[in-house]
Amino acid sequence: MVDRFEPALVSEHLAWSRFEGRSFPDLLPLPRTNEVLARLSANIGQVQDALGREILIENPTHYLPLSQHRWSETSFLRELARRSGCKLLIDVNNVAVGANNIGFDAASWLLDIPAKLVGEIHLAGHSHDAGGTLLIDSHDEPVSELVWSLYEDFIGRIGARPTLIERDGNVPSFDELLRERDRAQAVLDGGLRLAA
Amino acid sequence: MLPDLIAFQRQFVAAIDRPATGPLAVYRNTVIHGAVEALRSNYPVVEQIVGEEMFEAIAVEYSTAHPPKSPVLALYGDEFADWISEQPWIADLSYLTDVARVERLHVESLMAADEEPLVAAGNLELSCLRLNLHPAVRFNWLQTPAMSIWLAHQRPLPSTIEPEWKPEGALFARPSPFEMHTPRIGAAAHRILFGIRLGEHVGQSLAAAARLYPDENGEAIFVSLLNLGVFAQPLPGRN
Repeated sequence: MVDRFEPALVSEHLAWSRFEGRSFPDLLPLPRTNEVLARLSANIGQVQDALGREILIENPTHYLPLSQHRWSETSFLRELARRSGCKLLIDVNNVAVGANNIGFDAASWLLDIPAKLVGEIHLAGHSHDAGGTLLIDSHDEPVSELVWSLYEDFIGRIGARPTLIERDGNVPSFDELLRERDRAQAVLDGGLRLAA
Repeated sequence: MLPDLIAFQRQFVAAIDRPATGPLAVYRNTVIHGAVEALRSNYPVVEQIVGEEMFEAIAVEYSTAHPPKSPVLALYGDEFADWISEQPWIADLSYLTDVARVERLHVESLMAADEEPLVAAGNLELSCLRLNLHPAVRFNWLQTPAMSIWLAHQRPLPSTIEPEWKPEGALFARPSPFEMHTPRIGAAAHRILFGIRLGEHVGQSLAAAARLYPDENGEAIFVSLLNLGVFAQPLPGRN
């Protein structure tokens, strides 16, 4: 597919979805340990060698605190990029959702990501689960004001980056989608002026 | 290998395979939802027949009994018809199993490889050839008018469906990427296709069909199958 369509960017989530003959239509969480880091770096290297190009790795949404983690997420992503030569796709909504669900500061998380590693950004809306305490990365709502504000600060610091707004449920009129697109473009234009 | 990671994954899978609350329920629900929506896409007529609510309930049960093995969800649900046939409620809806079989033929035909079919050539002598079926051909013989029911559920929907209650055949052919043929077929056409799939010469299949169904015009049926693009171009050396 990469040969056929020559996409500008190629990315994959930091997650797993296959195990012992089953396939899970979801992005399941990994414990951030040394052995997982080594395995992931090798796998990313294999993919990059096969494709003959660098790929981006996307930060997943978090719902569940794992006791097995030995690395913070941002240091793990930085080390993964250093070892494998990959870049990062930062999903700002995933950061906001994870910060709410497992309790960390989204703005500090983003400050921990070096500008030079960021190749692409995702924005999306989220919803509340039935219990009301968890946020779900559901892609079925407008981008939240919190995510817009994190995005503005992030672009303000690192400069403009290709940005994708994910919306695949409860899709509104095209005009409404275009208004979100224009808002992202205005932020990016500010980021471009910053870089100039 | 990675014993800690594998132990973690095994434990995680076990946790989301059970009814869960809180964060684990988010993963569990997403996994189930993905399988249910894939099944809904692949069996739209079954859903129209049983209704959205019942379909959702049986899809959740099926996805628990037969969770996806492949990440290619476009082909998820290959055991759905057999599974339906074993459910206690099927007695009231015996044709539903066959409708599910028809829907499976449709999906498999849609997802099969694109290929140029064999086209009728004026003086090509086919009777002593062994032919391969085109990769996107699927057919079956059903004890209920499930193909008629399937056809009646394609848009535009009629207000009533009154199929003749007898066995019939279903054929799906897709000779070019966006050209789909979905005819009902009779027993003679089914016998010819079945024989050719088994590796009979065209002539053997036609002769067998003529013996079994003397009132049918096997040659004409063969030509109409050929015109639907159900045969692959002969490979050099197969005969």
